[in-house]
Amino acid sequence: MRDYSNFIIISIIFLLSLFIINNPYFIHLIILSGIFGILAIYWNLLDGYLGLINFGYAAFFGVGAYTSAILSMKLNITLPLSIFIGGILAGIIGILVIIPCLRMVTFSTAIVTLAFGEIMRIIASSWTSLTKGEMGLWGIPPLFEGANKKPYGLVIILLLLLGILGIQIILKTPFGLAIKAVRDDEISSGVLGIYPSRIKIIASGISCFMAGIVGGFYAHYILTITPAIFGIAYTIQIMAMSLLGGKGTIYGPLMGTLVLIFLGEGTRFLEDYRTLIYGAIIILIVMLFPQGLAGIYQKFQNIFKR
Amino acid sequence: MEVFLQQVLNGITIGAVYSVIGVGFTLIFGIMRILNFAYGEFFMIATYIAFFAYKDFGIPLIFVLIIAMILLFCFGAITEKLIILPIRKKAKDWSAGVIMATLGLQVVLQSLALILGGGTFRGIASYLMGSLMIGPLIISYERLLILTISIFMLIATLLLINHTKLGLMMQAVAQNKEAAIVSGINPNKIYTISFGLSGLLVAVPGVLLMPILYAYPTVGQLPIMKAFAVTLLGGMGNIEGAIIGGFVLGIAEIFASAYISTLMKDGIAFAIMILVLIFYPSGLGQFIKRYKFSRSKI
Repeated sequence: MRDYSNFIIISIIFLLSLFIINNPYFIHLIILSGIFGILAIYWNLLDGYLGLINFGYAAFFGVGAYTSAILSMKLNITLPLSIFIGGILAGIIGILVIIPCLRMVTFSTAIVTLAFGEIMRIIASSWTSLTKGEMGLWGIPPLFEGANKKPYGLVIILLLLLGILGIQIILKTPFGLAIKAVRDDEISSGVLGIYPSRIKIIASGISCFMAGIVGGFYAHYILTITPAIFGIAYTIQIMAMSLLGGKGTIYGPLMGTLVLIFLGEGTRFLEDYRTLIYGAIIILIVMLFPQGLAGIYQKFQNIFKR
Repeated sequence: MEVFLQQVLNGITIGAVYSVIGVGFTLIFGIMRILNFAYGEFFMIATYIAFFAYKDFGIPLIFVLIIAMILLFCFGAITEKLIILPIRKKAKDWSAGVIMATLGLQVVLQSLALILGGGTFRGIASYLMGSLMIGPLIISYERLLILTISIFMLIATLLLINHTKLGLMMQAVAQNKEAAIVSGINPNKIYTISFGLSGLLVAVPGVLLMPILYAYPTVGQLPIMKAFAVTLLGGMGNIEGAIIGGFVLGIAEIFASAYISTLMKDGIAFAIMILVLIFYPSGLGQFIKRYKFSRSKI
């Protein structure tokens, strides 16, 4: 039970804040935090727990978004099903991309996935008959009718909580232990009867599947998507959230997401100097706490234990 | 046939530029095992220096190049001392922290450029008119100059790494840091110098590509993508590999745009890169057997 105390606290905070807050702008921020929170957490499953850097993570998010949007617009497939198909497709593509990377070293994997993201972006912007190119897809059917954003918030928060719970359970199973073993030493884990390649394939499948699901949700929430969502800018944002929060922790990426989203919005009054201050704060946090926000949290815990 | 040869020549010119960009990026990775995400912004600073020195102050191009190289060397060294060094001192595994810090630096430099200079494109049409005819082939003097200086920089880098004391010290730190310390090398100094060298190298294309890549806040996006691709094609941290990789990428891109589609140019180049990596996972540099910057396992 003690392991799940953090989970319970976070679910209470999120659900309460959703019921208390009525301002649509803040609800939008909560939804964004949910979307990027899931992405950061599942990016971290690959980087923090498995040691596999995926620089094209936004591409899987984009695959989910485009698949679900096109399926629901052109083939009239009902909504939750099309999102699910998008997730499955993203997971399959994630597995296909990771297979050639199995022989390469970590950083090569990073750049192969980056190249994959760029290729997907170029395909999405040049296949105009299907994706409408740079103009982007618009007129995507919304997930819920009406202007109220609360149902979206509820869905994404439930998805986020489900995602956190899922990752906690995965890490407790033998499969989760195998993931960590592969990260720490691939050769000796192989000696112990773990197939590192199999672990990598399954873990990237799970991670990319989640990215696809969230992408589908995003498409039916924002209602307009452009090829830019495949780009490196989104991946860098996800990476920044995850690394700022702390590599190899469950709640670190979530904290990083909240800090970066609310920092980005909270510094709007600085106008032109906003991004400057934003970047400077990131540098300062990293210089003071190289382990990320999770490192700060751990320091506090140690103080109270004494 | 003439078209083919002309494309090869164009590819070699672009490839030489890519090689210089890639070598600067791979140098840091080879020695320090970090990815410098602010590398594109080093390029951006060089383009601004080039524009102001050449257009506003009217300094001759060759001095502009030297000034930019010196300034970028200092900028790289200061970046290492001010930002990377504190992170290295604090954490044992600093790769994630350094990625974050350089990402932050990227944001800071881009917004500084936007605040100070606005979002306008600053560039010149050309700094050298005319072109040279070799039989059926045409190469403009500008491109010839870019090709010559890039190849000169590549040879100078190779000589520095292989035949000077500083280069040998860099190799020693890259291969085994503890043993290097025992033999009296100060790794912090080497790290600072290599960061400076990386800035110095990227200043060269930054200045010379003035008529092609204008100075504006996000001009660094293109060079850093190329740097990633070249570094990977050559094998991470392998300098000779990066040189080969740069030429391969340049020629592949030119052929893709000449014979297949200009729109898909970058996509095809990346697809070739992935194909090469499937068959040669450690990059093209594996054909050159000496891995200077490969870390020995203890």
